[in-house]
Parts: sequence; structure tokens; C-alpha cells
Amino acid sequence: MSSKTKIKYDWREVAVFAAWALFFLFTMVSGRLPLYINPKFGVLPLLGTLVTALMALALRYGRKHIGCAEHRDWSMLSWFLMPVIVSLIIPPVGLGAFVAGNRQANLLGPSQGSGAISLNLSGRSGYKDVTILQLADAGEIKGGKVTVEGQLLSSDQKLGANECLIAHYQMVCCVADVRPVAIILRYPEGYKPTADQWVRVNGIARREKRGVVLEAQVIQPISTPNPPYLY
Amino acid sequence: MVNIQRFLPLAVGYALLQTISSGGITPWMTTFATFFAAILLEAMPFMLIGAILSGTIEVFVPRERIARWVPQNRFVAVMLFGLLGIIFPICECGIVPVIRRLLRKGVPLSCGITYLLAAPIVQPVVLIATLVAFMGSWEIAWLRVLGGYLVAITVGMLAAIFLDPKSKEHIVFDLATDDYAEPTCGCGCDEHHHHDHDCGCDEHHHHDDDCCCGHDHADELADNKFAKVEFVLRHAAQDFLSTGSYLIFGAFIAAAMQTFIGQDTLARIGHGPILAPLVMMVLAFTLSLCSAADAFVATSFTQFSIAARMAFLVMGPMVDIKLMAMYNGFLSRKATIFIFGLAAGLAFIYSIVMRLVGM
Repeated sequence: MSSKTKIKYDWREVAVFAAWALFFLFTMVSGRLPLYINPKFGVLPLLGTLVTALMALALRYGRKHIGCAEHRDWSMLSWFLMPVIVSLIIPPVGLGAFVAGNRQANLLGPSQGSGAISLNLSGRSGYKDVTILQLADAGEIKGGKVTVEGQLLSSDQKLGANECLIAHYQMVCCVADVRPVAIILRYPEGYKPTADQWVRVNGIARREKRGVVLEAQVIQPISTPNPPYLY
Repeated sequence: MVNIQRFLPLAVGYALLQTISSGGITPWMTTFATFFAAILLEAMPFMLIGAILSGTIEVFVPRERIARWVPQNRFVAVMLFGLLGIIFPICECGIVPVIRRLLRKGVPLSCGITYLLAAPIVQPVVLIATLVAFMGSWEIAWLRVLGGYLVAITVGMLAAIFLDPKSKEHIVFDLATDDYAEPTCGCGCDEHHHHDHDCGCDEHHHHDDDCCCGHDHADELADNKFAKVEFVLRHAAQDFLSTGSYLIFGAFIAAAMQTFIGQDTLARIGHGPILAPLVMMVLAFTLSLCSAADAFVATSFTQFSIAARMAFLVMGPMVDIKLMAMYNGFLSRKATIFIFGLAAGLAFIYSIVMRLVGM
């Protein structure tokens, strides 16, 4: 008996792997990936596409390997198809608003302000575009004007008069770990902040003991960025 | 899988069709679907890597060699398996197929459990991730690794005493045949494996009990340089199908928890020296984060002490919702409860000790 005998393959298993290969591929080419996982980990779905496609081919065209073919019923295999179908029918959304209502803003930033990073903005005549994450991460902020974008949050943290929180959403691996990173926005007299509104702020940032404070000079409403995350 | 798990995909499909036909997708559904797909897109590639590693072990590492590698003294073996993640760093999703394969190759259950618990923490990737998340604090990074190692080997040693003597009762898949039901022979006859048969084929490998299906691959693989790769892929595919559904079920529950239970609700429950680590452990259980990312989330819980967050960092990669489903896929319920209970209890004790030394 030749070892090159073709297997009587289970087409359902081949279909499962083919579906996952296409799902990984679709997620990448459709531009949905940044709404699911950090694009820095884009190699993962690429790897997933490659491996699942190879597995489908090995199952379909491989030599009979005897005995290693588990008889699985449809209910078992349907588990593998369910997430693919659910994801195709229900497209992903930016979870900024959900996260804002669900997870406490981290006023001191991911570094807890302990700070090895120094943000040097001095000596600039114009505003420099920075992210809230950069500001929150900085242990030291040396002068200068900044432009930041973020979402205004209602907060139960003790803030001064004319102060609210402005946050952006940081994703490390996937949306499961997204958290709002916030700084304090000190807005001009007469300005009425609207909770959940996305804004672009020109102002001067400095680090205080309770966190980074952005003294706003101009505040403009903007539409929700897509994706609403910083990576 | 139990019945509820068997029919859940059908129920979800039915609910989806009903929802679409009755006029639309609600916000909670999009939130849930986003979490669900994201957790799987992140975890599945790691599980595929684990499955490939498992297939590689199957094809390239004979059972006898593994038996030679494992020290005779069970406690020494447990301590060494606790460090295996340094050489073979695998995250908590990818390690399950590897453990299944190692158990099938004759690795003692206690050693498998130790590697299962330690590898997602005691490894360079997680050490560096924790270091970066906590702004270069080597102290916190090493304390996490130390905590993970101590918890893993303690559970492993207790497993050597209490689970190893009845390990066959606690491993719920067939060690000999990889739970592949009704295997059929490659020669086209109807004879099953592990016995001589007179089918007229020239295959004599059915009796060398090395592969999951009773095969020694040496003869089969010698004649084709691509055959080894193909066999690795086929074994990996079967391992993936055997364990992946548990990951998907776990991700389903984790996504539901993420959608319906606010983290702040839990975080606000309490901050006392006893309550705080417990709250962080409940968070770790419900969030089901990857061990490479959880340190970044832990840093954001600034309202909790480092000691409380250490409970989150040590327990999370060992005990969470998706892992519970995955462990149940190859271990008995009793063994799963044994592992979960001990790992959680020891992580809590470790956190209290950290608190006492001023963290």
C-alpha cells in the first residue's frame, strides 16, 4: 500500500479552515482591523490567513494519514463558523462612547506620570500636534503650545472650576483592553463643555501633581475619529 | 462539550436572523460582536501557533525522547517545567494544544499543569511587556514572573500528589488515539488500528505506538521531504479543531461580560487590603486578557495598590473565563476546579504577602 494514498477528507473541516482563512483576509483588506486589534499586531491575521489556508490545503489534498480524522458533528464545527458569520453580518464599531461610560478614565496616564519621558515643546512658535497619550505619558512637559484631539468626559473626579476631562482611547492589543487616557482640560470662561463631544483644542499643557492640565485657548468641535483609538 | 455549548451556535444564528428580520441590529449587539471578533482575532493566531508546535512535537519528537528528558523526581520535573516558557514562550491560548500533545507523549499531568500555568507568565515576552507597561520597573516585572512561577510550581507539586495517581481520570481525551473516533486505515480496508490485519497492504507501522493514531511516522515520512510539513499541518489542524471550539466558547462568554458588566462597577466595590486583590482577581477573570497586554490594563487601575494589581497580573493568565472553557476541553471538571481554586488562592496569598512587604 502506497503511503501516497489520498484521504477521504471531511469537507466540513476543510470548509472551517477555508472560512477562517477568508475571514482573516477579509478583516485585513476591508480596513476593519484597526477597530478590532492594534494594527501593530497586523502580522497576526496575516499569519492566521496563511496557516489556516495551509491547513485547509493539507486536509483537502494531503496524503491519507490514517486514523487522525475525528468524526465531528455539525454542532461542534458550527462553533468555528459562528464568529465568522456574526462578524460578517455585524460590522465592528468604534467603542469610544461605550468605553467612556464603562471604564474609568486614567487621569495620570499609563505611565502613572512616573516619568522617564520628557516632552520638550519649548522654542516653537506654532502649535504642535500631540496626542493625549503623549501628554499623559510625559513625566515632564517643557512649555510650548499644543493641539490635541479628544472626547470631553463627564467625571466624578474632583476638578476645579472651568475644568473637565478630555480623553482619548488607548488600545494595546485589542478592544478588550481599550481604556480612556485623560488629561484635565481647563476651558475659557463662558465655554460650556458637552459630555461625549469630540473636540480639537489649542492650548498650553503642563504637568501638575494631579495630572496633566491643558489650558485651552481655542476649542473646536470635530467629528468622531475613525478609529477612535490611539495605539 | 455539554449540551448548552453544542446548541449555542444554532441559538445565536437563530437570534441573529430574528433580529435582522425584525428590523435591526442594536448597539449592544455591535458592541458584543466587536468584542467577540476582536478577542478571537487576537487569540486564534496564537492558538494556531500552538497547534503547529503541537504538530511539530508529534512528528519530530518521539515519545521515548520525552520520557528521557523528564526527570524521574516529580518535584524536580515540576520545577523545570515551570521554567520551560523561557525556552518555549507560548501564551495561554496557544499552550493548550501543546499540553494535550505533551500529555499524549507521556509527560506527567503535574508537569503539564505546571507548564500550562507558568508559560504565559514565566517568559521573556511577558517580562518585557510588564517592564514597559510599568515604566521600566524591573521590580514589578520580576515580582510578577516570580509570583507566576511560585504559583505554578506549587499547583504542580500538589497536582503531583493529588492528581497524578489518577491522571487517566482527569484527562478527558483519549491519550492513545487523540479522541479520533473510529479511525480508518490508510490502506482502504475496514480494519481499525493497533492490531494486525490482513488487508494486503505493505504498511507495518500500525503497531509502533508513537503517533496519536498508533503510527510511527518514520517510514511514511522518509520518502517525501514535504510529507513532514504536511503531517505537521494535518496534526495541527486536528488539534486546532479539538481545542478551538473551547476558545470560541470562552471568547463568547468573555465578550458578554465585557459588554454587560462595567469594569468600574467592579472596581468601585472596594479598596481594602483584602477586598482590593479580590476585586482585581474578579476583573482578571472576567476580562480574559492576553498575558502580553494585561500589564498595560493593570497600570490603569491606579486606584489599586501594586500588591492588589499583582493578584491581577499573576492570576489573569492562569484563571479566566476563556481558559475555564479551554481547560474543560481536556481536563476533568474536578481537575479544572483544583487548578483554578489553587491558582486563585495562591495568587491572592502572594498579593497579601506583597502588601505586607510594602508594595
